[in-house]
Amino acid sequence: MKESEVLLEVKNLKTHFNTINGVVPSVEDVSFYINKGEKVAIVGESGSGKSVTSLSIMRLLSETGKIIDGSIHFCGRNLIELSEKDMRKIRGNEIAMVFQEPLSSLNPVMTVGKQIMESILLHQKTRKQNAKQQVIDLLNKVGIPRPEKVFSSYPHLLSGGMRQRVMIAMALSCQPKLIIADEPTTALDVTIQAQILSILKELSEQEEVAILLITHDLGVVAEVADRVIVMYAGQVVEQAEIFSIFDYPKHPYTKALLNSTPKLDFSQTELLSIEGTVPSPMEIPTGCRFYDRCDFSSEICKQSPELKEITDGHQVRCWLVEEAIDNRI
Amino acid sequence: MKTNQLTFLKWLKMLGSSKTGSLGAIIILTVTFTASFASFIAPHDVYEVNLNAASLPPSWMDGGESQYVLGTDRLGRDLFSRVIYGSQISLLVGISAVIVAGVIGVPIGLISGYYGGFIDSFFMRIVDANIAIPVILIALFVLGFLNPNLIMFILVVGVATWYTYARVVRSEVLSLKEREFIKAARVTGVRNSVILIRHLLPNVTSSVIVVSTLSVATTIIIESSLSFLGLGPKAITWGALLSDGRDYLATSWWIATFPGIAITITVLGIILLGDWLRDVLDPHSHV
Amino acid sequence: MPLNKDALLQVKGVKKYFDVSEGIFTTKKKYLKAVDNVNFSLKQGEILGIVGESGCGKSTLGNLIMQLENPTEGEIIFDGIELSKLSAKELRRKRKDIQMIFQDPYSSLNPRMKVFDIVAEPLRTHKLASGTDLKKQVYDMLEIVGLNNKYANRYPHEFSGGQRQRIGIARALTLKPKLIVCDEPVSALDVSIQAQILNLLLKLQKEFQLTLIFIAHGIPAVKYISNRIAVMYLGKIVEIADKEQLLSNPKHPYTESLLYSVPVSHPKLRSNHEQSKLTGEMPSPVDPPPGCRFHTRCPYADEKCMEETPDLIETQDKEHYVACHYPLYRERVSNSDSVQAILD
Repeated sequence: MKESEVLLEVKNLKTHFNTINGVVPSVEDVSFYINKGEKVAIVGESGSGKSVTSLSIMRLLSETGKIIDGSIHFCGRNLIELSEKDMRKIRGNEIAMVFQEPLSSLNPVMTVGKQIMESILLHQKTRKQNAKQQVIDLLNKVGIPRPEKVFSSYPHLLSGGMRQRVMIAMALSCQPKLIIADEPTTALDVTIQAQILSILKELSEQEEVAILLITHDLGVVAEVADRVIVMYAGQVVEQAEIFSIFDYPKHPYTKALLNSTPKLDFSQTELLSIEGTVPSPMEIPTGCRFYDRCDFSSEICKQSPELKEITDGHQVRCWLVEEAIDNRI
Repeated sequence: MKTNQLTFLKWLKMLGSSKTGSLGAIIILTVTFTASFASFIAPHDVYEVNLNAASLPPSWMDGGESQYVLGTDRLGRDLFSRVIYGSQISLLVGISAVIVAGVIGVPIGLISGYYGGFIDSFFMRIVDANIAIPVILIALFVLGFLNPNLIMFILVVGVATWYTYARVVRSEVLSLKEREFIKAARVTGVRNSVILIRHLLPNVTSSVIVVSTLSVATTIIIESSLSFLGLGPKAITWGALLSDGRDYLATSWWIATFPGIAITITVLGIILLGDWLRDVLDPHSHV
Repeated sequence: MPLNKDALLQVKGVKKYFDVSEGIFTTKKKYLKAVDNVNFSLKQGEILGIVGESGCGKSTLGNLIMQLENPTEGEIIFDGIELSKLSAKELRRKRKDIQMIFQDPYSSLNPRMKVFDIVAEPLRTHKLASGTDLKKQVYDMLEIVGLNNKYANRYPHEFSGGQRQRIGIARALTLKPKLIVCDEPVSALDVSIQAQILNLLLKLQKEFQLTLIFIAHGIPAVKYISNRIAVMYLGKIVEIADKEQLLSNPKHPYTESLLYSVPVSHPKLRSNHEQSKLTGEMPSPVDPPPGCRFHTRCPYADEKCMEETPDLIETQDKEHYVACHYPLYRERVSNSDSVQAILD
């Protein structure tokens, strides 16, 4: 990994929330990087801290959330140290975001075209006519049929799939270097999901945009990602290149996650499930956080394991990695 | 019995942990206490006229006398005692009228929202008609023709304001009935009446409480307005005291000011307590 | 398609049209054809999966079976009785035998009721148990669905999505119904929790000999749980067959593309899906296309498909019904063996 290739580097990120019940640690000591043009997926269940991680990068945490420690270097600048004004320039311009529910991120009383145009005019010095043409090109690029018509439509008239395409077009409008997509297809039908995922993939390759995909669905990961970060209860538990994750998962949680996904291509007589639930951030166990749900936990697991590099680029947070456990449970 | 005590203690503890809630509770308890024991607390007879002591300022001002803490009105009646007695009727009117309005409005809102269709249109047109006529106008009309006694007054204000409950409850029910737990009750074979009472009513209570607290406040204000117009309950109320004092604002400002302060503090107390109650009644809050 | 007389449930020519005419003065009526002439029957102990995109009418079909809505036309015969002919009182009694599990565990439980009361409500409503007997039955049921009965006095918001779904399942099971309609019961859950709930449903199905209708938009879950699968498109069943049969030999082009839309289970399989992915979106059910409703998105459609509506007819394979003028006769590329070959 050459230093110059790294686009985003998150180091020891710690994000806490102040609630009535006290301070809730949501993200603890998360480190990862994204190279230029790379497609990285963060996988985890709800409560794993994956969305908080992405919001921390964008510095879009709600008032109660606070980054306690760590650094987020983007193109050589530490985002945590930037002023709110400089951060605004980064948002949308260099890092764009696509959310799960596009309807709530679009202004309902403004046509789709105008909204995208506005963001172009805000971030670029260009004339209105040029901007309009740019918008139509963008809509075309994300596979919207008859873009002129969609340009002058209001968001509620579009289907969920169309709205998500519009969101992607908007994200692309300022030629960002990184798009953070937070569960972009969870609210959509499978057929539309497949379309959106191929658009994201194509765009990333054509425009050389890096993508940070946040999802709970390993199928989506298998379709898109180059590298995978598995999060559990606010920590990174495994991080590796995509084929290593699918062929040689090391952390019991990753293995269980893979085994509990219903698959179309194999006959499954039994679906292995992970019993129990992710511990709530208020009652995190002191040792390994997966301890209660793990089939292999032993005495040593009562102490916190470190994230260790086992082979090149493959990191695991588990005591049992050294002790050989079978690849397929 | 023992569990009752326990829950009472739990509530008390929860109340203690909220600053605004406790403040509201203290205000309301004080007002209710003074209202209940007015005859013991009031230092003077409220009707006792003493023209020698007419229009005395509060005791701490020049010319004030120590036995008339808040001063006297133009007939020399003790203002402090009158404000204390005024709390009785004001509270009674405020609370009873709200109960009357709630008893009419809540069931209509539930039924209207749940059944929809013709029943809904029927009730909602009545509501529209009711909104179009100001409460004061209804009260003027009815109380002008009938004998404006206390019960009549409460009924009129209640009947004139029920629609607020009907509207709030109806709109809550409209969104609640789309929730799957209502569907679940229906597929179980639960009767509509039971769905209304067991599933919908408990889920609208918090909004009803919020509306009620605001209504108690507005009712106290309506009562003062009507008293000012001479149509209030023929009794000593804060509103009546306020309107008495209005003509003398320039010379004896205290006659109108102290009942006004009493109204403000009471209304504030009710709103604070109502706010706290709404939070507590929401099952999400006590984990 | 012929209906089985001994079936537990028969759905005969069921239609549900919603009036969506605009304005008061328009004379021309507009209908949203949510369910348009659906026929199928369900044997005791069977698990039928119903899949389709949102707006295909699968949830409306579930509501019709549950008698939450009345069909515009057609009959729903359950246990030999036509449900729409029952009086309100008889229907309430009959509901004991048909229960439902809902999609959203956050909205399907009354936030103001304790878990105990939620699970006990069906028993109380039908006056089947009271006092200690009721308590025992509720506690047993909680245990069966994998919840500790010390939770009985808590409110729903204290539970996670998966646990809430278990409460919903316990509520549906207390009456020992013959049929349970599951309306997307796992779509709102995390993948690892989905597996828990699917396994629980399968276990309960065996234990109580339940008959299940499992409505979902994702094929993998349906594939795992059902014996038979029906694919719906714009209010119609386009294909219905035994699970293995449907997955390995999909005959309707829509079924085929639906299968190819499912995300791959391994990154190595990425490329061999691309070509058959479905383009475009489902047209509005208000003005469905004439002829075969899928012709606007179908790669094989010709003029016949634009004019004639295909009937749901049995193919050469027994019990495999398809509504297509040109059913496909080929094995799907990625069946287990070939996939295994790619992976090895």
